[in-house]
Amino acid sequence: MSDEHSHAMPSDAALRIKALESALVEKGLVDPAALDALVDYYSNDVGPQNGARVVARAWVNPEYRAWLFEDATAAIAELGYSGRQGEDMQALANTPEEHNLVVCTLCSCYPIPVLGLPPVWYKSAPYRSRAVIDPRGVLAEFGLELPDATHIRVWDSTAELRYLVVPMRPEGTEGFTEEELAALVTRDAMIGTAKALSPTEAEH
Amino acid sequence: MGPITPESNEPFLHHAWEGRVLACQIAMNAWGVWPLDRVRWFRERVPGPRYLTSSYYEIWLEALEGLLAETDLMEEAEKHDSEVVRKVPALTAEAVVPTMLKGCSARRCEAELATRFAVGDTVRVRNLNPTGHTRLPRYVRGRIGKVGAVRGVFVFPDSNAATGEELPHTVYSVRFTARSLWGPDAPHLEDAVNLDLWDTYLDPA
Repeated sequence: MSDEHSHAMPSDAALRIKALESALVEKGLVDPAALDALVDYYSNDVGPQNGARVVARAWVNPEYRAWLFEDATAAIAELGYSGRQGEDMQALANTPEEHNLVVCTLCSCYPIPVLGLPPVWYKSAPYRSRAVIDPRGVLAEFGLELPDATHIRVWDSTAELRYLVVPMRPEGTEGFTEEELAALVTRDAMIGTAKALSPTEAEH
Repeated sequence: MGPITPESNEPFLHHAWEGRVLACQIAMNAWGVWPLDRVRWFRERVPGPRYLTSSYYEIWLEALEGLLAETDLMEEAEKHDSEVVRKVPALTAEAVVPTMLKGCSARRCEAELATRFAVGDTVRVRNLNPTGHTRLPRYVRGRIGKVGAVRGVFVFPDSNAATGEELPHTVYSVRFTARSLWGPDAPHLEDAVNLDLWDTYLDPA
């Protein structure tokens, strides 16, 4: 590795936010400890592990599953997940007849309390534009092909409702604990660009 | 728009500066000077070519700079002795987690409004082309769909972004088949797209 890399200039944006943050702190408009706490929250407290627990519980507990589809906000809050960009949740059930796919064509709306911050691809022009007009092409790029008999339901997050896809429970998982099941539920499966992992896939 | 190119195992934040942009925006939102709808509007106003070639947080940063330039928060802050005056302090570290967990719902339960449409109704999306902020995507304007659910009453982004007037009214989940959206030559005509649309975006069909 050349030493040049260690002397790389910070980007224009990095310099601008550094200056802006300094100005905001100096004027008392932001508390720097709060900024650190926010970065910590979004780096550690929210992420797909949250949604995976919701899905795993729905797989093993029929009452919870029914509650999740009737009042997703409350059922999700029961597990401790709530708040910003998840105030009004809707759960979407994948079945052999219907496969759900979530997008925000207008910006990047995403159920942050259960999935964390969205990946770059979700926020980018190709996904945002193609998910609504060519969902099967999008899924093919993710390696997922669905039979013609399965209809795709794309959900464009145009209002403040936020969507969590509940993938189908994989075969061969009888007797798995909730924790073992949660390990099969990927972020992409909860957006709709993948299925949940099979036990074999999870091993690799 | 090209291929999607997902990055495997990507981190939530790719650079430390992105985290600072995220945190500064959220911390400044806590003052309540601008609604989220206006924040989105500022992001949307980044001119097309720059929007498409900027990274996500570069767009956020440009919007934050614009919001600060438009309001007089920075000037007001300078007038006061920073040790003394603020009746409501800036968002504190201790308040971060409770504030994030509480969120800021756009639902307005106290607004009792008659709903014009019921589940199963066929609707046509109005051909509205506002120059300001809207949550009515172009691809659905003029299209015919079917109401799948009545979501309830929510703050109206179009007005809230422009003037801060909430004008809450009913949002419906409306389903549009691929045939309706993309025409009779679309592959998989029975695939569908569901959108959450405000009552004032819709007419009976």
